[in-house]
Parts: sequence; C-alpha cells; structure tokens
Amino acid sequence: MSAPMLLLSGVTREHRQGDSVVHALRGVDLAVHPGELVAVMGPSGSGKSTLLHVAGGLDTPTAGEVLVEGRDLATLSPAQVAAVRRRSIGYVFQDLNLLPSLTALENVSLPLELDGARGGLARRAARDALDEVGVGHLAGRFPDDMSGGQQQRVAIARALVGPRRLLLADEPTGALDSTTGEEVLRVLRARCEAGAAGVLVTHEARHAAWADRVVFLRDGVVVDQSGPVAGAESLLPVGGEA
Amino acid sequence: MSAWLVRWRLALRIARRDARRHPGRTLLVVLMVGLPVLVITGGDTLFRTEDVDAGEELSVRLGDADVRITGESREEIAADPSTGTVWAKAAAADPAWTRDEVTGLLPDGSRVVESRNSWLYVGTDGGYARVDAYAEDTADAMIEGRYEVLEGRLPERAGEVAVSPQVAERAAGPGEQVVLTRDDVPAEVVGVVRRPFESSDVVVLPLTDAGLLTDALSRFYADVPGGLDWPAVQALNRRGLAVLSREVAQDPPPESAWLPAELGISQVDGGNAAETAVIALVVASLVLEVVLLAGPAFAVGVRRQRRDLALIGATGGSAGDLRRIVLANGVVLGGGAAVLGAAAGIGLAAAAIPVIESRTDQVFGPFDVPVRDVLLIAAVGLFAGLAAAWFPARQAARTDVVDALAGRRGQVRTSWRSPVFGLVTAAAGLALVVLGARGEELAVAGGAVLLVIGMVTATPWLVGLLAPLAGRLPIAGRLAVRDATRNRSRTAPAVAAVMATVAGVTALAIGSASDSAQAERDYVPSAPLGTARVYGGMEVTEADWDAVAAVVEREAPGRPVHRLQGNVWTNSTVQDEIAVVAEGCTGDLTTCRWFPDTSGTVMTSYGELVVTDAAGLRAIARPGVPEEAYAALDAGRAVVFGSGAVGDAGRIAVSAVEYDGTGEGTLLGTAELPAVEVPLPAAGRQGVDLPAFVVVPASLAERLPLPVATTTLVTGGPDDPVTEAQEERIGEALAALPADGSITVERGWQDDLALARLILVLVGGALVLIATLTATGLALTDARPDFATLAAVGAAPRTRRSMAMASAAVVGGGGALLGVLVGLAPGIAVAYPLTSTNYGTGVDPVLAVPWDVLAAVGIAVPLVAVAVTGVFVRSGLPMSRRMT
Repeated sequence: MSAPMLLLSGVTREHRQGDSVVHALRGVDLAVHPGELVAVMGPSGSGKSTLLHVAGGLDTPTAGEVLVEGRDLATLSPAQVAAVRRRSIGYVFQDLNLLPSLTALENVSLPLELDGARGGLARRAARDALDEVGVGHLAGRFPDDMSGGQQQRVAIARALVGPRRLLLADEPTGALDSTTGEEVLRVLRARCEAGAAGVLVTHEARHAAWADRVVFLRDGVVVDQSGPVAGAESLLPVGGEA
Repeated sequence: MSAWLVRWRLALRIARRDARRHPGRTLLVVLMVGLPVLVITGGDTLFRTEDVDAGEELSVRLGDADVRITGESREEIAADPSTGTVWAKAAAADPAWTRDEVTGLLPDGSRVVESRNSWLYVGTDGGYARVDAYAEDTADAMIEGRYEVLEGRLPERAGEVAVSPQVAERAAGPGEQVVLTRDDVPAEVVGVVRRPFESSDVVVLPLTDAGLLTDALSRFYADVPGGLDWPAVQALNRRGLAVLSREVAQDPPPESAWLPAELGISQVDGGNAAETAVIALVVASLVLEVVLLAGPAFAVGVRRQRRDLALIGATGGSAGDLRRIVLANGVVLGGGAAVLGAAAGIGLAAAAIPVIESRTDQVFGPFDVPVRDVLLIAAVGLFAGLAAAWFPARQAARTDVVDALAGRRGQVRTSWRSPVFGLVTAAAGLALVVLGARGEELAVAGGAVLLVIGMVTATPWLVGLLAPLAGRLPIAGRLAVRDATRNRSRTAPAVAAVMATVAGVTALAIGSASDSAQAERDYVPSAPLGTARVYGGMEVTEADWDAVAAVVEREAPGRPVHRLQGNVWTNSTVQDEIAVVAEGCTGDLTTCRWFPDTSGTVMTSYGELVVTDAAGLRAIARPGVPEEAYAALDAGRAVVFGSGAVGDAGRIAVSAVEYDGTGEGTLLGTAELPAVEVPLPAAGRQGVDLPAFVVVPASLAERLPLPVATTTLVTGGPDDPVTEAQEERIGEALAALPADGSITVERGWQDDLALARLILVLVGGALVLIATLTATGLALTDARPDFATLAAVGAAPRTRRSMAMASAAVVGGGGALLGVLVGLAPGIAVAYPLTSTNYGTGVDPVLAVPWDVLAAVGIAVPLVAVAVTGVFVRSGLPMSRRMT
C-alpha cells in the first residue's frame, strides 16, 4: 500500500472555556491512503468536525502530528499551510460552500487564482473539473441560480480542481434530498477510486456505507473502526434505484 | 501576468460583484466619499474658470493687434512683458507720446491706431453716473476681440456711443438718446457692448469724440509685420514705452530679465507657509471625517462577508488574501466614488456658470477644468476609501475560519497597543496645545490634531469602558450598550466621527466667541449710535453736496443735516494741508507743528481740523467733550483739544502747507483765530478719541489760510437713529449721483462671527446626525437575529424602536460628550493668542465659552438624533427566519 495521503498520529485538541477544558479530540490516530474513502461517524459533539478541521490545517492540535502528503503541518507557517490547502486539500461543507458573487466556473478556479495561476489556465482546469462532476453546463451560473445538489457538485469540483488529492467532506449531503445526496456520494466515490483520498463526516449509516472504512468517534476518542465494507452498490435495490 | 496581479484581479472582481449585490452599502460609501469630492472639484473648477489668466486675457487686451503700447515716460522704465504692467518709472511722460512718434519707432510697414481711456459722466434718471469711457478707432480691424457686441454695433461717427448693459439699464438703451458730461452733450446709443471678462460700467465713443474725456490715457495698438520680439520690446522700454507684444507674452522671458533687483520684490508667489498648513489641516480633517463615517459601512460588510471570507480561507486563501479582498472594496467604492464625484463636480460647475452670470455681476472666463487639481482631489478620495477599509481589512485578515464556518462570533480580541498609543498621542497633543496657548496658534492647531487623532485611536477602548453599565440598564439600553461594546469595529468609528466633529466645533466656537468678545470689549464707535455719515468721492462740488443733502433729507426726514468741512484731498502728488502751530513757536513747521500733549494714542475721525457749528460737533462727538466747547463755537471761537496751541491772548495760529510728493513742505501762509482750549477727554482702551484736534466754527472758515470744502454730511443720532431701511434707500439714491457718495451708520459693535458660528453648528450638527443615524441603522441590521429571538421569547414590539433610540444615544451622546471635553482644551488655548492685545504675551486676553453652541452640538443634536431614530424606526419585531 502507498504512503498515506493523510496521517493523524496521537492528535489531541483541547479548548479552554473559562476555567473548564473541553477535549474535542484525544489521541486520535487515522491514516487515509490514496484511493480510500473513510467515513467518520459519531454523535453530536463527538469531535467529527474538529477532526476534519485539524486534518485540513484549519485548526492546530494541542498534541500529536498531522501529515498531509508526508508534510507535517506543525512545521509550516500559516501562509505555507494555506498553500497546502490550495494545492493538496479540498473541502466540502454541508451547505453555503460557494461564494455568491462568483460564477460556478470562478468558484472552482478560486484556489488556482489564489495560487497565482493565470486566468486562462485556471479556467481550463476549472472547466475540466466541472465536466468531471457532470455540471459543465453550469459554468456561467451564479450559486443563487443553482439547486442545492448542483451547488454541492460545484463545491466538489472546486475541492478536486488541479492537483488536489485529499478530499475532506463535512456532511456534504446534509442539506440535500436523498436522491441528490446519493448522486453526490457517487461522485465522491468515483473520485476516490480515481486516486484521491477522502474523509467523509456523516451521521447517517447509509452514507457511511459508501466508504471503505468507518471510524467511530465518541467524546473525541476513536472507539471503533470497521473494516472495508461491501461496495456501496450492494446497498442499492435491484435495478439501481433507491 | 504575475501572481500578485492575478490575486488583485480576483479581489477586485469579488469587490465589484459585492458592490452590485449590496446597493445600500455601496450608495452609503459612494455618498460619503463622493460628496466631498464633488463639492471641492466643483468649487475649484468655478474658481479656476473665474480666474482669468494672462494668456486668456491676451486676446482681450490686444484684440487683433500684434502689439499694445503706452507712453509711460521719456526715460527707461521696467514693465512686465506678459501684461504690459509698469513696475518702475522715473517720471511721467512730458510731453505725452503721439501716434506718429510711436509709429516712427516701430519696424517699417507697421500700422498704428490710437485708443484713449478715461471716465465721463453719463446722464441717468437720478442725475449723473460716472463710468469708464473708451474712445476708439472703431473702423480699424484691430479692435476685433476687445469688445463683445451684445446688441447693435460699435459707434462709427461723432454723436454715437455704445454702452454696457448696466449703463443701458440706468441711462439709455439702443436707439435712445443719452447725455454725456455735465454739459449734457447729446449722443445716440447704437449698441450694447461688454469688455470680455469684465462687468464694469462702460461707454465706447468714436475717437473723434475723445475730447469729451477728462485726462485721457492714450494707448497705441499696432499691426507689426513679423511681430515684435523681446529685444525690440526692451528697446522700446528704454525709450519709456510699456509694450504688450503677443509674441513675447506667449513666451515671456524670466522675471530677472526685466524686474530691477533693487526693487526687492518678486511676482513669483513664494507661498504662505501658514496658509499651506491650514489647507493641509483642512484636507486632513476632511479625509479623517470621511474615513470615520465610511468605516462602519466597511466593518459591517466584513461581518456579513465573514462566512465568505472563511470559505476563501478554507479554500487556501491566506490572511493577506482576505485583507486584499476587503481593501479591494475600498478601491472599488472609493475609486468609483471619487471618479463619479469629480465628474459630477465639473458638470455642476459648468451648469452653474450661466446661472451665476445671469443673476449676479460675476463674469467668468473660458471654462477651465483644473485637470491636475481634479486628479489630486480624486486621488485623495480614493485614498479616503482605502483608509476607511483599512481597519476592517486588518480585522478580516484575523478571521478565525473555524468559528466563522460554524457561525460562531469567536472571541472579541482587543489589543492593548492601540489604546496606549492613542492615549500617549492625545497627551502629547494636549501638552502642545497648552504650550501653544502662549502665542503660537499653529502649535495649538497641531496639538489639537494630535489630541483628536489620539482620542480617535483610543475610542474602541473608551467604548469598551461602557460595558459594565449594561447590566444596570433596562433591556433596550442593555442590548444597545452590549451591541456597541461587542461590535466596536462598527461603533467606534461612528463615535470617533462624532467626537472629532464636536471637538472641532467646540474649539472653533470658543476661539471665535473669544475673538468676538475681545472685539466687543475693544470696539470704539466712530460716531454716536444711530448717526449716519455720508462721504463723497474726489472732486465733488458744493452743488453735488446740495443734491446729496436733498437725498438725505428726503429719505431720512425730520433730522437736521450737518455739513463738515475740511481739507480736500485730490488725486495728485501735490497736496495742500492746514497745520496747527504750537503756541509761541517760531521755528519751521517741522518743529512747530502742534499735536495734543498726551502719552498715549490720539485718534481723530475727521482729520486735524474740521469746520462745523456747535450742533454739528454735538452730532459727531463722543461723551467727554465739555459743554464749554459748544459754547465757544456758538460764540464764534475755535475749540482746541489739549494745551500748547492756544496762547494767553486766546488765539491759535494755523498755517497752510503745500507738499509736492517728495516729502518737502512749503509754507503758504498763516492765520490767527480766536480759540478756546478745552481738556482732552479721558482715554479709552485704544487711546484718546477726538473728532479733530481743532474745531472751527463756519463763521471763521474764510479766515483759514486754505479754502475748505464739504467732506461729510452727518445726520441722526442716539435720540433719532437712521434706520437700516433708510440707510439702504439713501445708498441707492447716492449711487445715481455724481458725488460718488457712500453712507455709513454707526450701529455699535456687530458680531461678524455670529453667522460663521451658526454655520459651524449647522454643519457640525449635520455630520453628527449622519454619523449617529448611519451607525444606528447598521446596528439595527446586525441585530436582526437578536430581534427574532426577542420576538420568540415574547418581547414587546416597541423593543426594536427602544433599542434603536438607545443605540443612537450611545453613539451620538457618548461621542458628543467626549467631543466637547476634547475640544475645550484647544479652544481655550487658542483664545489666548487670538485675543491678547500684544499678540501672545498674555496681556488682557479674553476667554468666552459659547455655552449655547456647546449645548447645541453636545446635547441638542444627539437628542435630535435619538428623536429622529424614534420617529423613523418602526417598532415591531421580525419573525424568526433562517439567516443565510
């Protein structure tokens, strides 16, 4: 097996609120390899989102290591961490992923333009990413003119545009109906099978079924991990319909 | 394209799109930045257009001629080649230059025409009006361009004239008859003309009628083949001729080539350091005010963009990218506002010029857009927009991505550096203000700027000091105070704007009120209250004065009109004067000329000697003139104020002296008059105030060694004052008379600065209102989620209005109170050098604090802001809704 795309070793995250200390994560170990989709499940307040924030360099662990493509984020400056997010990591949130004042194409090319890529180059890469997720025809539309599912597809395209290969998705289907949600997960799955690594935070088992592994969190601690599950298609009724 | 440029293009694109998505905020910022740019650009354009420079005037001065020549002297002169103005000459030309002489000095083939200029009387309905007159060779083409024919034509033959619009209105228009000079020479008006860029009364005659002009000055206009270059002009200057040559004026030599160094003057404006400093201060204050007023709008924009900024951060944007996106808002809005404001200012100026010209006497030159000034003003506007976005941009760079994505406010972090820097700067400013009170107004101004900047910087910390109050207030007040202290990025700029405005108003109001108080204290009336004095121009005859007296008696009836007579000054270098000789002195007049013996200053209103009777003296004298003076005049004796002139025999000697303009006086004759000596009145703050040193009754006037003439008419007094309406009617009637008279009525001290203080209150009050209402509106918008929660828990509908009014009270009231406190020190400090009699040594300074002005801006205006908020904010809480 190749080196992990994402490696969390003994990651702990504590928040101080006045005199009390909240342990959002305690000694979490997690490795995600290219081609692998890992689901993270747990009740509210279990630390799922914190894990994703730490993995993406948006939050700094109190202890432990976070390596993305072999680079220890703790050794990087804030500007270097931002560069890692531009070039290696893609985020998808539950909703409100897109900048309302930019078109779909411009939203997808955003990380490239932030990286200083010339307009034409960035737009070509963005168009390819949109086509890949099946919404190339929405390139010129603004988010207000798209459905929730279309917005999430655009968000996934942005998360994967360019050389990015680590996808972090925080409840990406939470605001969608079940059919649209399934379509989004299908895209995620396809991308992982094409070589990306993905971490999917969800509280729904049927969505976790799309993953190769499921990690269970409670009170910031990994309490269980399941092995590779049967392919997601096995969960679908005969005929491929929900 | 470099990476830096790509990132800026992205930021500007987001800023442009955001500006369109939030039209309310966009309009607010555009108005804040654009309006000052519009006003300043429009004013500057009007000023530059009104100011006609030498280049623009050249075609007016020369017409179609190549050269204009005036015969100034028969010796070398120094003249400005760009205007033909003479700067130095030995003596006037004698005899005067003729056309043939001038032609003989010009290159072969030159053609010369003569023009003569002076004044003459034109008959009007009320008598005669004195107007400028030009006698021209109107048949020659060289006159083209020197007159603008508005109606009819220029005169071509004797007996014809063209007049300016004002003369046409007062005397006669085209096709009508008019009389010229006091001899009533008839002439027909054939046209209405105007000299470009001038609005004066003018009459144009043909050259054949030049004899009607008195003491006319000749000018010669020449058509010179090949033009006249600088060496040729210099040659003519050496002969005593002043030359305006088109060729030289368009490319004039440096000042050193023609201005004699021994004159020690220069036309080059070296600039006025104090004036520049004041202008810089005003501009800086304006920029600061714009930044403080527009800042809250950007701060709220950052709050609303918080999730978008977090998304960009999550996508890989660095802190610098986030800062750049907010700054781009400043560029787009500030730059757009500056461009719009400048364009609108120029357009408004262009539209205003014909309106101003049609309603006033003001005449403008060619439309002149000061491109460099406009670019500078627009650049300052852009800078103001950027500056307003600066602090919100810094805040954006510190966005906590995780908190923003989760919809949490995050911890409100306050830096200790800003308040420390602010308080230290304010203390330094206060120290400078105190030091400046000893005589340096600029130091007070500079210290005031530091004081305000320091307090502005410390304002967020000061707003935070309100936090403990919140718990003791009812719900609306508590919400308002908590909102203000937790959203200092929005509240503090508004409070600072109010504070800075009120501080400025306070300081200026105290300075001007103290100045006015000193002027009132030191005011010396020039006549008893209600007394009208009518003065005449030069060369006014007694018949003219009879006509003036008739006007005064008609318009202000029931009052005696007294005539004052004395030395009459003429417009020549030779002057005759009456001087009083000291008693028993037999030396020359330099040593024997008498003045009242007092150690202080002695002032007179009517010269050293005035001729009038007792009633006339009573009309012009201030308290302190003893009754024996009036009795002496009635008895036919002269009155002398002070000792040393009246001998034991009860007589004074008065001499007539002729001065020839070189400082030497020639004694023409001496006469003795019976006289009475009276003591000097008590001295006031400015010294002893007399109507004259010597008052001579009319019965003795013929015995004076020089003839005297009427100089002034006096009427009215404390018991029967001349009213303002009567004064205005007399003034209008005087304008139609040849005496060129004017009237002035003593009304006591008038506060010239009261209007300025009123304007200060109105402008300052408007700015305070704008800042308060803007901040309150933004606070209401931010508080929508809170209102939804309040509705859910059962709060009364009026809670929204109450909270808005409380917000207005916090911003307006808090800022105004702070502003009054801050403005007191510089106001008091500047009052000392402004009002010290000896300019800064502290002698007799006056301090007057206009509490009415301070109450107006410090209390009344904030209350108005609270009331306006209460009127226009609807009560009623919104239904809960999903916030995107």
